Amino acid sequence: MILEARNLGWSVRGRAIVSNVDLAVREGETLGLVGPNGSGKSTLMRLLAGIVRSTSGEVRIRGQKLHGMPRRQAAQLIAFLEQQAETTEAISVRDAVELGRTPWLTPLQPWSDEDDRVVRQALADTDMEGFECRSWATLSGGERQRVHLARALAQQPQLLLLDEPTNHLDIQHQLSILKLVADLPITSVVALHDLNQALGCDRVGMMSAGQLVALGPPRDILTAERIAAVFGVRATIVVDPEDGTSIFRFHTA
Amino acid sequence: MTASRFLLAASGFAFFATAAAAEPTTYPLTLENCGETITFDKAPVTSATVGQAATEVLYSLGLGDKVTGTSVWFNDVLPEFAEVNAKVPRLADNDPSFESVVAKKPGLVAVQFVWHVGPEGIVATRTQFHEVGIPTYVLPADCVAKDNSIGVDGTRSELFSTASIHQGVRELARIFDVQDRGAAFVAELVKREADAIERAKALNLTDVSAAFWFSSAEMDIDPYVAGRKGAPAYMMDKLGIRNVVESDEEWPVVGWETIAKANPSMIVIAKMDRRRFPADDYLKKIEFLKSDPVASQMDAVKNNRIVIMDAHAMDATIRTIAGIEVLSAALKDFGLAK
Amino acid sequence: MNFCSARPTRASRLGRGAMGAAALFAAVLAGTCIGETPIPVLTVLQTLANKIFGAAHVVDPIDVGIIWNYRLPRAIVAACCGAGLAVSGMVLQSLLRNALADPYLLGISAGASTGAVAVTVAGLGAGAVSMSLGAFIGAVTAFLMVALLARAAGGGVTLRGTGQIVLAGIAGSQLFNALTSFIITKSANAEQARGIMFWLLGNLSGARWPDVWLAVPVAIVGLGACIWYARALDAFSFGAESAASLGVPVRVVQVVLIGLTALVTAVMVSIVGSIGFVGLVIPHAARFLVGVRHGRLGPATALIGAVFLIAADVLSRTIVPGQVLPIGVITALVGAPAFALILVRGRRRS
Ligand SMILES: Nc1ncnc2c1ncn2[C@@H]1O[C@H](COP(=O)(O)OP(=O)(O)OP(=O)(O)O)[C@@H](O)[C@H]1O
Ligand SMILES: [Mg+2]
Repeated sequence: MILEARNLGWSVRGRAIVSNVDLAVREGETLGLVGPNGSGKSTLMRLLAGIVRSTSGEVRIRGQKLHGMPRRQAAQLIAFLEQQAETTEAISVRDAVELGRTPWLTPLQPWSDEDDRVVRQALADTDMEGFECRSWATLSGGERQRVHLARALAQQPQLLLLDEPTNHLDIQHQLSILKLVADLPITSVVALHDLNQALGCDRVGMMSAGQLVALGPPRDILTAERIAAVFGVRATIVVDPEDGTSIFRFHTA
Repeated sequence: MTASRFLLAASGFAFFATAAAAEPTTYPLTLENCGETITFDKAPVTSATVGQAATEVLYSLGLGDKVTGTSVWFNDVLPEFAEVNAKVPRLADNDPSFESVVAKKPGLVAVQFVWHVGPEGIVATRTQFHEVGIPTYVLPADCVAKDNSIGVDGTRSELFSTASIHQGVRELARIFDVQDRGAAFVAELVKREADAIERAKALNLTDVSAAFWFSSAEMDIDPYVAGRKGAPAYMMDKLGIRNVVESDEEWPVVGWETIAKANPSMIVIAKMDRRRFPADDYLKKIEFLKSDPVASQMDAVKNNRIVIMDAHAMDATIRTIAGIEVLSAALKDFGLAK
Repeated sequence: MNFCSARPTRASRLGRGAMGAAALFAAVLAGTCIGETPIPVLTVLQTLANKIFGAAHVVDPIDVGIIWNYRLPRAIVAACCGAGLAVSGMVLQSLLRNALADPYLLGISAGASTGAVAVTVAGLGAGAVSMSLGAFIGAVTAFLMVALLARAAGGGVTLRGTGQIVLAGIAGSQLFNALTSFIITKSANAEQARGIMFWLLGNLSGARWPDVWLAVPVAIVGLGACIWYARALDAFSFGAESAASLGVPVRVVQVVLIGLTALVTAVMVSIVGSIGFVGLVIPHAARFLVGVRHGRLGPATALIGAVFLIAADVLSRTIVPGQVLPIGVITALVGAPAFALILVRGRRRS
């Protein structure tokens, strides 16, 4: 168990945004998180990343309490790709990706060739080579998303928390990024809106109204009944004649 | 300016003063005063004052019993008026409010500084007083050849002269119908001034220079010194002293570096009761002069040629004449004569 | 300039450091040579040789005093204030992600003037407290109030919403400005207010060696903290949450850096008054010149701030012969066009 959440909850001004989440993420798996807008996916991710302190329950990473762990140590274990992160600063792509090395550096342990190598690799993995010197403001939405991902990769974490990493991406990059994440030897938790993409995860958790209502293998969780109950749409299954895999088609209820 | 012209000017004032005596004032009296025309049907019965100088002029004219309220005090009243002053209520140590002045229902408000009652007067504008039927009189020393809209303390277009002080005394004497007293007082001022100048002239001084240090916002900071057109400049001009400061402002800020390099033969420091800045204390000024690595190297300090002068004498007031006397005496004491 | 090209080698970094030190040295020397009155450069050099290396040139004692006790400490204090204010502005801009943040944002300047006025005009402290100390106490009080208000408003030192501290700063500044006006109108006359105004616009003429011994360590601590936290500051580029996920102890960094900039600013303001413009604009100018990474930006900001303020001070002493202008007037008068130039050039480049 790399990451464990017990009875995790977060409420603000008396309103429970996330409650009673019990979750154990296994070493090396890719866990998909699905749920409607406002169901608490991002909030749960922030709790798991430890950048928001839970109001009930606890998170353990490798058996160690996340709350109380120095931020630096936590960031060496967990990288978090936010759903939205923007800047008005004239920062270059390389600058942005280099930020990922922050938890590994100290004033007395400055930048090394190894760091350079990691950054180059992250840029290559996200297909952003050649963009190093581009200024942030000039990037397209999808390019920004890939830079953020490169930054998360440059962090060399053991756990990747990705909040809608395929946002803004064209279909080719969506697929390649998800494949990259799946192929990486690291554990990842990915919030997704495309249920067909969620089918490709090792396990899927479904959020609804702040609760984790279901957790298990994708085919067991993403059933037509549950999708209808949680998302309010009718789902039918079609089979791809090419390889025989089944995919969803959605209809308004 | 040559000495003979000093005397001529001085005796001219004296003559004029004597000639103007005797006659009683005829009412209605109309006067031009600092850009306003004021009219009196009869001598005012009472007066309130805004500004110590105005108060002391009225006391000098023997009108102490007519003063019903005073304000804006810089230091103790002249010792000869201590008794009279004790009977007069103080409206405020500093700036009085408009209503506190009006409440005295004075027949006249006598004012020292334009900035108290000018177009942006902090007590009120003159119009406001006139609207409630109270005439105002501003001492000409603060408005003759002086533009109060330029610079913080106003800027003089011509060198100040004690003639404007005499004018203030004479005009107030006319308003209150005590012209003989006014004439006598002016004659006394003129004589004292001429005598002081005469004593200085007898020393045959060449190239004596000075700086007047009023105060500083902080001890080490650039000081406020007398410019080229105010009362201190007049004193220096009359006594043949060169002012090392070259600014037309009334109290410009000039660096110690500039003053020290100009190396004046003497330094005049202001003594006052005010304690807003540490440098208001003349003892602190002396301490600075003796200890500052630059100021202490000036000839004036090394030879202890430091004159302590009443700050009020450095303003354009009847005390200016006493300032001239102090400075004249200092020239003699310092043995600057060759 | 392309900040993205090859990472500077150790040698080139040393080279840049040496160039910076040389520029600073040259500026201090210029500040010592140029002043209200003309003193030959040779005399300046002889005096410095006498004082520093124990040489025995014959120099007029007044010149010695002016060079060694007025101009040199003044130039050093100017450098420290320029560096301290500029770095403080830079840190706040980065931390609060607000390009308009300046060191006075947190009510420090307003508090300092209230403190100064309370001492000089209202006579608080009964003569035992100097105007500088009053200003310092006022500045720190105002900052603490602003920080508390920001905390109570739920923002300030939290991950989200740095907006509250900006708003609290505005409220605090207004309050203290009103207090200052209140004290002045209640008990001042024109001559008195004038001294205060002069000081409020900034004034370096009172700088002496004791001020140097205060300003130098404070500026070094400020710059040192900024360099120490350079990577943490970088990590704030995408916001405080992003910084937290990058391993930055956000709360600690915010408290330490905001507290430290407040302290640096308060000390500088109490020595020389509130000099405007430097803290707001110098960091932006530095960003145009060396980019946004704080490892480089911090030292560059400090250097440019230091040189700029020395230059502004020299100008303030020489632009009108025989008179010294308030330095705040010069910093804005010279700085604004200079900054406009940088803006226009930066635009052409990108
Ligand atoms: N600080 C906050 N104060 C009040 N409400 C909040 C706060 N943060 C989140 N919420 C609310 O909590 C709910 C869950 O938000 P969250 O961002 O976790 O949803 P999500 O599942 O990520 O949605 P989406 O698919 O739109 O990204 C939303 O209704 C949101 O409005
Ligand atoms: Mg979300």
